[in-house]
Amino acid sequence: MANLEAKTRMSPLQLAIVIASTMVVITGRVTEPIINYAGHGAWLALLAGTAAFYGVAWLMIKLGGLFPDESFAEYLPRFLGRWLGGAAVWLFVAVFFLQTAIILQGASREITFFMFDRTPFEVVEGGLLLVCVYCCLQDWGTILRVVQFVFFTALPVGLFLLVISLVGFRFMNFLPLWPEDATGLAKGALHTFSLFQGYECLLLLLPIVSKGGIRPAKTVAGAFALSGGVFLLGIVLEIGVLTLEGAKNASFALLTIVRSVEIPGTFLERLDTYFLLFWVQGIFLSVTLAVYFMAQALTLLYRYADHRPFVLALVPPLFILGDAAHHIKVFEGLRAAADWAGLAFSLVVVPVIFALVWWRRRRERGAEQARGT
Amino acid sequence: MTMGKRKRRIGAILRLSAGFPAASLAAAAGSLGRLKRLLQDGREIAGGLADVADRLRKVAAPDGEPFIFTTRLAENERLLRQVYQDCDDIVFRSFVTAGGQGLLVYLDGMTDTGLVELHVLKPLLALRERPADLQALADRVLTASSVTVAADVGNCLEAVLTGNPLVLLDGIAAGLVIEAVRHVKRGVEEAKAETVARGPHDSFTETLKDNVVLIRRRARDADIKVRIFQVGARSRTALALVYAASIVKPGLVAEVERRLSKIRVDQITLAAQVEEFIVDHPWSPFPQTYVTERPDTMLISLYEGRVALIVDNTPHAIIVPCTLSSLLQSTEDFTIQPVVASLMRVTRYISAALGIFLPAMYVAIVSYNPGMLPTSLAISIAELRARTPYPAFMEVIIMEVILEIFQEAVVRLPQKVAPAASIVGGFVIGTTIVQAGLVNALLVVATAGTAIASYTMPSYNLGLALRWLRVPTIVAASVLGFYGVVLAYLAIIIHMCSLRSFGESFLGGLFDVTLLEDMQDKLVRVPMPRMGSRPKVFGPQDRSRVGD
Repeated sequence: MANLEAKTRMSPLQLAIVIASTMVVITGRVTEPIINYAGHGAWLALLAGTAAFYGVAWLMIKLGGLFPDESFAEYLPRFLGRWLGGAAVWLFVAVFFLQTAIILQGASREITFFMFDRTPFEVVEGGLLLVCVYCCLQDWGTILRVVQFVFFTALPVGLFLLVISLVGFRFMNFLPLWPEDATGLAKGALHTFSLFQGYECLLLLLPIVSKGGIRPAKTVAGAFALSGGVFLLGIVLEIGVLTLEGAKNASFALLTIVRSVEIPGTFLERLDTYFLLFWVQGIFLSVTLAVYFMAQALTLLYRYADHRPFVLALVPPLFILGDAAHHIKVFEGLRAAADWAGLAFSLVVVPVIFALVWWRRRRERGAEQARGT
Repeated sequence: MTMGKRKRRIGAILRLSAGFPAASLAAAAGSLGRLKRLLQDGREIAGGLADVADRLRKVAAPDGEPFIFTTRLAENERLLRQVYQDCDDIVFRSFVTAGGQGLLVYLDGMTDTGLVELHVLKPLLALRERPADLQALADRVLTASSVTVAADVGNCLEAVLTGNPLVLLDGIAAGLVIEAVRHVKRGVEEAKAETVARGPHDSFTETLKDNVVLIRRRARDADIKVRIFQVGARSRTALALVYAASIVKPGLVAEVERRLSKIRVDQITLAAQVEEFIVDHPWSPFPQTYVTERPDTMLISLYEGRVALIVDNTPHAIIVPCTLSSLLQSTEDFTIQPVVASLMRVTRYISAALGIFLPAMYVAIVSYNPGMLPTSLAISIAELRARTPYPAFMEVIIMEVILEIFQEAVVRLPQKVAPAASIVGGFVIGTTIVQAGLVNALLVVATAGTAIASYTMPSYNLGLALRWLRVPTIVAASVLGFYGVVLAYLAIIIHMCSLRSFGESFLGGLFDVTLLEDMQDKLVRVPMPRMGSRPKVFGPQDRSRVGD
């Protein structure tokens, strides 16, 4: 039967595309802590981070399997109690909220720097947010179509431009391959969370993923592999082209690299602007999906029928926080808060809930067996 | 009158009245007066009784029908004349058949009188013994191919206005409707907007029946169903709902019927009116129904699981659901090599994008991001722009307005004058406007490119949508440069993704991973032997194109 008969369903492959689109598009400011901590081992930190956060995603998929037709916003209040469950959902919303404010600020700052002379970044931020809100006010079927369309049209071109930038890569800059500081590597791996943030939406989306066919664990692994590959390319480029010190100090490392590419014959110039045109679409996807997930989580938590009132309620504070983060200290504070909140949710809340559910189910099974005998 | 004659007349009167006394004369005069009054009262009573009878008859008539037939032919004729009052093109022809009265009613000019004379009047006039009822008459006497016994007045009245004559006989409260329409119609001609180099050249006409014939001729398939509806409370325009019963998505035909039944308007004279009533988003600039003048295109659509509507008096069929991919396909694609067709399709998609964004890109590059161009080109553009007084936004608006005016003029002009106007317009836009220093030559190139790109659209309505969308994108580019163009692009994509045509996505699953199988006939076209399944997006019951 045709696609639109099931507007609230999605395939495991679509889930992977959504996960990959949700993850933060690489920016200089997001990779900066990873490079700062892990140094030349940033690529290793990234690989370790990819594996670690896929592990958490796998745990979320398993947790979803224990509650097949419910999202976490529905079963948590029942399982943990109204207040504790509600707090966990609000933590989920807070992680997305803080991260989205950082994306909005970082993106609008870079776009203003590279594309405009006098246009205030608030206008840039507001314009993007407006289009994101328009998308969020649609139903999930429409949003899913938008995500796929933009993913398949923008990502290949953006990747192509990144690959072209490899012409400036110097292997010497990348050496030594192996880091000496294992603690720095671990810290760097932890900070890769900023890159992967967004995969928490699994907790919301799993109930609407069609059963049968390819398993979500596999497609989500594919999404992590793709995103990890893109991030790895970004870090390799930053260190390989700008050197480690250059990458640490560059404000907009990746765009600076793309800008430095010169195509023979000079029929195209300022590749950074072309790259931005496609990168903006990636930002659009991340922000749109984040706003939708926040709204949807609250809709399910408070048992509303429609996510749109929450979209409209969330956007003004999001804009204000994104605007306030213009000051570098606020930005850094916000980033630290987003990272710690996200890490707490992924590395503490999710495993604890999983362990609790698993333990309680085991106890229930034991009790049933005892009654049976 | 001569004096002699007058005297003789007076003398005769005097002689006639001589035997009556004056009193008798007065009494006779009084009686005459009373008689006159009685006659007057009688007329008034008769009028009143007729009104009462009319009312009673109307009470007896079903809802929506003006009266019911009686067994008295004279009464039926009177009522029919009342309904068709001031309709001088309605002809009432009385005749005698088998010793009784008969009446033929038809619409002059729309009825085949030759056929009526030969197959209706001639047998009736020659009839000696009257059959038991009208059905027997239709079965044994009349030689016309299609004769229907109709007792309800509404159908009879409508049949007459359609061009089918009505026969009434005295003593029978029903009529015979004979199929004898003779339309003033255009013959089947070559398609005007959807021409192909190879492939059939015939196209739909204004006559519904001929259009159905064009479909039937192409597929001897009883699975193709044709259901006739009427829309328009007054115009009662015929509309054919055509579909392939074993292929069409379950529920789609019912949904189309439901939307048709909701049409509340007095007249439907154009298929476009029906479109506006049945689409999901009437305010969107994008066409949400696929309109074709080609019977072969319609048949292909039916076998994809779609539903077609043919409105009488319009030489186009409406096909639903409609997707962007179908709007960007042409019959020509199936008459040329698949690889060439695929390239042409990709070109159309690029043209559609250029048709919307090229002027906006010009504004963005010139006003905000000249650094994206090679330095030499950027310098030459700056040099060109130095000669024009207006900002880039104003320049583009001037050119757009002139282009729109020019296009409107060419469309409205008679065909013989249009080429001359094109030359004058091309000269004005191409040369003079640059020489006058109003706009620069690069903008002329961009505008011409935009216009040509929008002309490549197989769907005229899609071309119009592209023209409309140019305006907001130009405004976005003038405010936020290329960033604005990207935001406008995203807004358009969101809008297109949100559009639905009869429940299906307007994007038609373009870049939808669950509909990857449909890519065989979307952005590209694979050879026919490889096109083994119908598009999943339309939800056909039978996915396989391969026969049983």
